[in-house]
Amino acid sequence: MNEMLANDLKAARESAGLTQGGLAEAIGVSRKTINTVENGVFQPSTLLALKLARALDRSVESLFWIAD
Amino acid sequence: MNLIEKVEAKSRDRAIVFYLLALCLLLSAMTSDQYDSGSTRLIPWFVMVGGAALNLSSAPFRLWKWNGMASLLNDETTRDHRRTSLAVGFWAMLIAAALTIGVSTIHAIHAVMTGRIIITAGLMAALIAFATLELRASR
Repeated sequence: MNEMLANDLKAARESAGLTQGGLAEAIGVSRKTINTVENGVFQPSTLLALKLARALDRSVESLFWIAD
Repeated sequence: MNLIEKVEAKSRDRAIVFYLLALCLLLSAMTSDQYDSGSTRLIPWFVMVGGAALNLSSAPFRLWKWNGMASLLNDETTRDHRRTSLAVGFWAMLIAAALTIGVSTIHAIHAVMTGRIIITAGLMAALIAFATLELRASR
């Protein structure tokens, strides 16, 4: 089974009117972390996923899901 | 320039320094003599190797007090890149050690030289892997 973590981070960030840098500043990470999460290169920790969801006013499940 | 941009610039600088450090290690290994185990060359080499290894660890962020940049320069992605690059370095050391053993069956190699080759290969691979991952992530 080849499960992958998909996300809607880019769309959620853009609809919130934030740049990658703005979102990074809001949750205290570097811009490259946001970039790599958006591109699916890096799988965030639970803590980071919760911080992202809170900053974007979304639930974690709506931001991240398992893509089969 | 806000904090995020400053961190990004510093992160890019760090990656370039790591590439240069890897080049220095290679040049140092290439210019060293097989029986050159005198302290005049070994001590500077050990300092360089120690500096490279220290930079690959998260120790500088734990040992010294930093301003707000510390957590951003050592965030989740950076820690992930560090883990990956250390694994790459480990495999490079294993391969270098195996190759050195192979070569030593044909041509005797001084123990100091063997150590230098193995350490240089491991550190170079780790430095290059880390710098490449960091630059790629910043794109």
